[in-house]
Amino acid sequence: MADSKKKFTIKPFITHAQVDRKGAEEIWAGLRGAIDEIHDRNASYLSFEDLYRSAYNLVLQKHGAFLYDGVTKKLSMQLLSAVERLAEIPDPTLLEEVSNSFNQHHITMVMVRDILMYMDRTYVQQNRRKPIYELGLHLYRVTVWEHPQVQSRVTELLLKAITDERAGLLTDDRSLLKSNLTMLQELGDADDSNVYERDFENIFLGTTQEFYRNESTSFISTNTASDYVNKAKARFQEEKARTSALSLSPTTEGPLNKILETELIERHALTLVQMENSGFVAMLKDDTKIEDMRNMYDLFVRVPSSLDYLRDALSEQVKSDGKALVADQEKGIADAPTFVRGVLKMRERYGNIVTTSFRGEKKTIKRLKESFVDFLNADARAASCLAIYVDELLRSGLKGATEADVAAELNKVIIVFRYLSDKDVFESYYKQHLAKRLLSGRSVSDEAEKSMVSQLKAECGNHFTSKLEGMFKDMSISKETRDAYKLHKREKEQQSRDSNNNENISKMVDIEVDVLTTGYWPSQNVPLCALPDPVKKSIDQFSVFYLEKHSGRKLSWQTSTGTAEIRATFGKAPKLRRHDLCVSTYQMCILALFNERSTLTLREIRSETRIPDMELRRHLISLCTPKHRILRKGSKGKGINSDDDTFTFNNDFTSKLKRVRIPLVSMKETSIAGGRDMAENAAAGDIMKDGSDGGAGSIPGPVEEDRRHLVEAATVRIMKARKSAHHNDLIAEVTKQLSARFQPSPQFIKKRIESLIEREYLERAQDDRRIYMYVA
Amino acid sequence: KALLPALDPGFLEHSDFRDFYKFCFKFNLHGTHKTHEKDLAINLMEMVLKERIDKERIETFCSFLKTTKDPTYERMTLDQWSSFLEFCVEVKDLKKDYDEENSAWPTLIDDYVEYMENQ
Repeated sequence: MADSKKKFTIKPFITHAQVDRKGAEEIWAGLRGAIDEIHDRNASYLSFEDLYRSAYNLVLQKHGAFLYDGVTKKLSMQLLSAVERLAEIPDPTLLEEVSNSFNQHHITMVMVRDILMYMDRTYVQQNRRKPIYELGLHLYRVTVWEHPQVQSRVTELLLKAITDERAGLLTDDRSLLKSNLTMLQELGDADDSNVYERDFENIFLGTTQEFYRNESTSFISTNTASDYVNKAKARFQEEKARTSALSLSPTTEGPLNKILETELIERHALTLVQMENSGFVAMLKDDTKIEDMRNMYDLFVRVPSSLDYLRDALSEQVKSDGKALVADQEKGIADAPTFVRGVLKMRERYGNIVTTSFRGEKKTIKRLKESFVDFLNADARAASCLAIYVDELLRSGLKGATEADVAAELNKVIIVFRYLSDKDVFESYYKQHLAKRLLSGRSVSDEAEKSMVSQLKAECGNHFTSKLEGMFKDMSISKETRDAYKLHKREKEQQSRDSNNNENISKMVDIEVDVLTTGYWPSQNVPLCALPDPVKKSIDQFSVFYLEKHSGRKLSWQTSTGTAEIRATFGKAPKLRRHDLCVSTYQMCILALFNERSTLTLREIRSETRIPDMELRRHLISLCTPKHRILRKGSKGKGINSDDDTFTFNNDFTSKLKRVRIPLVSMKETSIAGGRDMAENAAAGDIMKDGSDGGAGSIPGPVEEDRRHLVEAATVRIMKARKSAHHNDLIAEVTKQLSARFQPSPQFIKKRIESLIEREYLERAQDDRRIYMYVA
Repeated sequence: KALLPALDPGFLEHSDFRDFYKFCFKFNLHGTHKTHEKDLAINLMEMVLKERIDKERIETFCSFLKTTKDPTYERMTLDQWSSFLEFCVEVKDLKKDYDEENSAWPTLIDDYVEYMENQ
């Protein structure tokens, strides 16, 4: 086969027969009929493949437009007859019919779409026409939905159903409502016509708003606040449930909630708070309403701005309760411990309300604190009252309490302590009380004392408590010293006995000494009074002993404190009565004088004992009270009137007890007699049981002085670091640095600055007198 | 005392006058004192400021000084003295121009303004 060249022939492409217009119409007729069959639910007789191919061919042969328009027309006609039927359907069954019709349409469209899928993918895309399925929906909307007899009636039926539900009436199957609403959403999505919003949502929101506005207004006028809250809560839940049951569009939920919040909560928030007898303000006073308050809180949380009303109400109530307590204390109806107990109880109560009803919300906690700070510091006596309360706890209140109880009680105190702005005043009083407790041995327990100090330390830092700890140390060292001294004395007595030197021993009395380090303890600058000889000798002997051990130290004896036991003999022989009198040091000096003489004038007593006048009067009067008449006062009445007033030893004194304690009368009582300015002696460290301190709520002198030093030190420190500072900045910085101890007023700081300028620590800047410069 | 008025040539600029004014204060100090007794300060002030400062201002200030019972104002410091001049120049209308919180006038002047408000 040498010459058999294979010849490749290219055969012409066999094209299908061109389908012309007439052919197209024939094909279309078939399709059209099929669509009818589909619509009539006779689709099972059809061949999908044939129909698909027909459509395919049409499109391929460039008859896409023709096909598309034909389909459009066919569908429209079908829908038209459907809607004509629907228009005649009576209301009760309309929703169901519409739902069914749409469902049918949906089934039809799916099949039609499948058949015409090729067209969807080619002709439709190229010519930017609506895809078949969307076309079907669009046609449905314009033909069926927008029919006056359908649109308005269906809308009304839907809204009525919802209204009925809200009124509590039983309604038909919710699924019908759901399907109709879903239909609307689908229709709207298909051709961006927003039918759902236009024909349902807007009206729905409008009627909802009106409904709730009316309901809330009428309900609130006839029901208690708690009932309202519960009803509102129920309505919120109901609407939420309905939204999901009816498959309302997510875009509806937002506006719907907003309406509920506005109409149910925002509009009536203030009323709910202020309602007489049942509002939030009223509930705050009622211990049983904590749950109800919480319900209201939960409701208001939806509208955060309305929470302010609740917080305001709480704050006002706290302040008003607090002010009432303060007023009682000022008027003297309640003493300091009662006042503090009231405050602690208040704190616990309102703390509980904040934790439970406000769910521990931070903003409210802050508000609570502010309210306490507000009323507590309006009165400068809060600090001293708190100190008195603590004193009471540590003297007797915590007796028999467990360690946990002690910690809990003291912790409550610390909570209130935090609210004080004058913490240094508290410290000063606390120290004085502590000193008294330690020196008189009247502390309920060492552990309780230590517990309090450690809590203060945790709160305020070391420097606050270092002096207090020093005081404890002094006490224990004193005990060791006393023991050593006793030993020493015994040895000396032994020596004396051995050498037959009896004289020195007999003239001395036993003394128990507490040696205190000056810096730690509250200062007492009272000069020595004239002590009886035996006492003086004992003191001297102790001094010798002590200074031998600690040379270089100086002992100054505080005669304004201390106690003594005196054996006094009353009556006439042979019926003598002996009593041991427990008296103060001053009283001992006074009574010792009566060993020589039976009657003395005030002047004589004063000059011989050298006791300061105010104290002298006080201790003297204490010896003349009806219950403990050791001395008989010459003049009539309670007080001492003149220097010539006489005092006579009362031989007829009787008492059931062998050992008689002579209590000291308070400063107040002495002043009735003396009529002098009490402020004179406030500095002597006398602390009143009623919380007064010589001047209504004034700052004690030492504390005031301390503050001046602190402000100046802080100012210098800040200026040294900064070199220069603007007036306002300096004031702000100083205030900030000292805020943990007290709140200095800008005026106070200004005065200190001026003082520093005078002493040339600071100077004003040349060009701007508001700026200070540090002077190196 | 008689010398002083002659020493104040009226043509001094304000800044120079300020120095002169301060000098008057320091010159009259006795010994190691850094402050003046109130009465002396009042007289001195009236003399030195006579030509320069509004009569009413000086008068009211001096009567304030005389009537105040505050013990810390028994003596006047240089700071208070020199601040007063600045004060007279800067603050013409006590109600409008005086800003207690933001300016750093000595408390003496704060109290003076309060005194005037109560009049």
